[in-house]
Amino acid sequence: MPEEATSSPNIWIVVPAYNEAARIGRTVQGLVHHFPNVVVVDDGSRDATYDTLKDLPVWALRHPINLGQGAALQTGIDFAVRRGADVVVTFDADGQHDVHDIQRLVEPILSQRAEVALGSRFLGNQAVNMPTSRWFILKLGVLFTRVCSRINVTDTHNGLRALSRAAATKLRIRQNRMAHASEILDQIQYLGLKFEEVPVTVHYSDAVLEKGQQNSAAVKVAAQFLLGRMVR
Amino acid sequence: MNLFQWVAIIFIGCSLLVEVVRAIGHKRLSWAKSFRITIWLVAAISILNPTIVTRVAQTIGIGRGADILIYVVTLTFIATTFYFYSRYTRLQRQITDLARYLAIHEAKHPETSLADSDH
Repeated sequence: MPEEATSSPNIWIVVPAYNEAARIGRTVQGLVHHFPNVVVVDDGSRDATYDTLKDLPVWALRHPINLGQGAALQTGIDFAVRRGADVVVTFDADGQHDVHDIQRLVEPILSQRAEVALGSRFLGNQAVNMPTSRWFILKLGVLFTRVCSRINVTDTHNGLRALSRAAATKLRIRQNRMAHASEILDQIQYLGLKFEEVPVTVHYSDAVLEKGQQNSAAVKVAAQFLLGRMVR
Repeated sequence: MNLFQWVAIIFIGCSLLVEVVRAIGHKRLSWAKSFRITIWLVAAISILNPTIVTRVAQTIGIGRGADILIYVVTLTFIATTFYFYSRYTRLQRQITDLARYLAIHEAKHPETSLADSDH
């Protein structure tokens, strides 16, 4: 049973998942012990991800085809807002995030200091076992975002973020694939949303590195983001 | 006329005939049809009298007639590529909206499903 009351605030956790049958159970069980409202969006997985969700106390949504993490996030956010979420937290399915970071992440929103809270692995050096090549690529991403979106953040592709209900309603992720992280920052700047960065821990296990984004995908992500901006 | 000119003019003539017959059949000439007919006519004139293309190229400061063709084809290729990329992106967004609608309307909560099946 959840440890916290379901009364105010109504925090919803959105977990996009693609072929995560092996890890989604552990990730979700860690979440439901602290938060009663968890929605997992199975993004057209080819493995048993969706079947695994049947045994867990979470909302299970399924895309009929694989669309990408950005599309899965927007589906989960839409669903959470419809169910009356006050705060929507996005959380990766692969177990790289720490559940205990969520309370610190939502605090700026609950205290109304910010409309968006962005997790950062670079505030306080909280990236555990991060390869040097990944550090370099992520720093390039920070530079790219400063130039293209004119937003000053320390971590651009962190999947752990929290949105107030108003921000979740205003933001529209149209980049279906991995460029959605840059798009969210771009929209925060464009919409003038108040944001705050919060130090969070990211664990780089072998499994996370194996299935996660490859460093070589950075150029593709940048191209997708720039091309997507040209088509409205 | 050389062999290429004969083949090209026959092809363009057939294409023009199809466009004109269709326009007469529909009893109206749309902007798209007018544009296509114009392109075919310009192509026919250029093939029958290549010196016209060279004169046009020299008038606008390009020089050779072949160069003007390279520029036109390149620009057309870029415009067409962007047009189809836009179409592809919009189609992808429509598919995403549809998939999202289905996912949200078929959302399942295991506890609710179990409770429903008990009744």
